[in-house]
Amino acid sequence: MPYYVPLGPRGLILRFGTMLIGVLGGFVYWRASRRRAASVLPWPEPIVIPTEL
Amino acid sequence: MKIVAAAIQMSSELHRVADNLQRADQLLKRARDAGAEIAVLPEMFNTGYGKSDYALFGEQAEGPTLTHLRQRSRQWGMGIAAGFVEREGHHLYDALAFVTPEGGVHVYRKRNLVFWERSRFRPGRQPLVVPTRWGRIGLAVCADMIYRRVWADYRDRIDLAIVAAAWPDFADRHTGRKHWLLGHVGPLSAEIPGLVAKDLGVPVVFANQCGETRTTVPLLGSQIPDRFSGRSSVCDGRHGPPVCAGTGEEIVLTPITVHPQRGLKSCRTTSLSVPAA
Repeated sequence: MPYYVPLGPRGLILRFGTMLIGVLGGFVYWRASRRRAASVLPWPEPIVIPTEL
Repeated sequence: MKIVAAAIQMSSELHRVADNLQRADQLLKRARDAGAEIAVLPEMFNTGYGKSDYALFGEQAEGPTLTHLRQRSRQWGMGIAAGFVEREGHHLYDALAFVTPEGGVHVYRKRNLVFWERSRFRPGRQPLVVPTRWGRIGLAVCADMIYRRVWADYRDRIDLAIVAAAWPDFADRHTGRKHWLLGHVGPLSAEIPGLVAKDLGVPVVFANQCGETRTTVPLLGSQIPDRFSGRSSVCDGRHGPPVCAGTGEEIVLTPITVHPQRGLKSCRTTSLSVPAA
C-alpha cells in the first residue's frame, strides 16, 4: 500500500516487513483468538472516579 | 465555525487502567476549563501501550473507560476521542472511540497494524466518519496516518480529522542514536498531521503518548530503549501553522476553523455506534 510520504529505499524494506508481519502476526493472532473463544474471559471491573473534581 | 480543540499528550502506565483514566480525567478537566469543545486522548491511553496481552483489558461501549468518558462528555458538553482496546466476542481491536455530549459512542478500529500489534489485534476494515454538531469527523490511529489510502478515503468526506497515537521516536533515549531502519520514521509524527491538514484542507488534531517505552523491531529481533515522540499537534487546516507540543506531558489547545458541509456524504461505519440513551 503506498505511503502518504515518501520513505525512499527503506520504504521498500518496511513494506516487505509489514507484509511478512501481516502473515506471521495474523497466524499468531488467529491461534490466540481461538484460545480466547474456548475460554471464558471476565470483563473489566467498573472504575469509580469522583464525579466532580 | 471556530471551536477550541485540545490534543492531550500524556504518558500511560501499562495495565494501570484506573490510574491512567484518573490522570486523563484531570487533563480533560483542564482542557474543558480552558474552553475546549473537542478533546483527543492518545492511542490506548487507558491500558498503556506495549507488547503485552490485552485480552483482560478489552472493553465494549459499556466498559468502565467509555462509560466514564461518556458521562464526562455529557457533563461537560465536550466531544472526546480516546484510544482503547475494544473486545467483541473473542476478537480484540486497537480502537479509537469518539463520544458525543448527546451520548453517542462511535468506534473506529485501526486498519494498519504494525509490529507486534498484528499478533495481538484484528485489523479494522473501514474508515469511520462521525457526524457531529461540529461537522463530519474522520478518525485514524497512529500508523494509519502513514498510508495514502487512509487519507484518500477521507478526502472531501470530512470537516475535521482526529488521530490518536502511541508513536515512538525509534531512537535510543539515552544516546539519541536513531535506529538504522526506522529512525527516520519517528519524526514523521510531527510532520504528517500538518501535511494532511494542508492537503485535505481540514483541521487535524493529533494526540500522541509521551514517556518511555521499549520498541521491539520484529523479524530483526532488535530492541530500542525508546520513548514516545510526543509532539502532539493541532493544525488549523490551511488557516495557519500547526501548534505543537514538546515531548513531555502537555495539552495543546488552540482554536480551529471547521467548515461543516451541508448534508452528510455517508461513509460506512466500522463498528458499533451506540445511540444516545
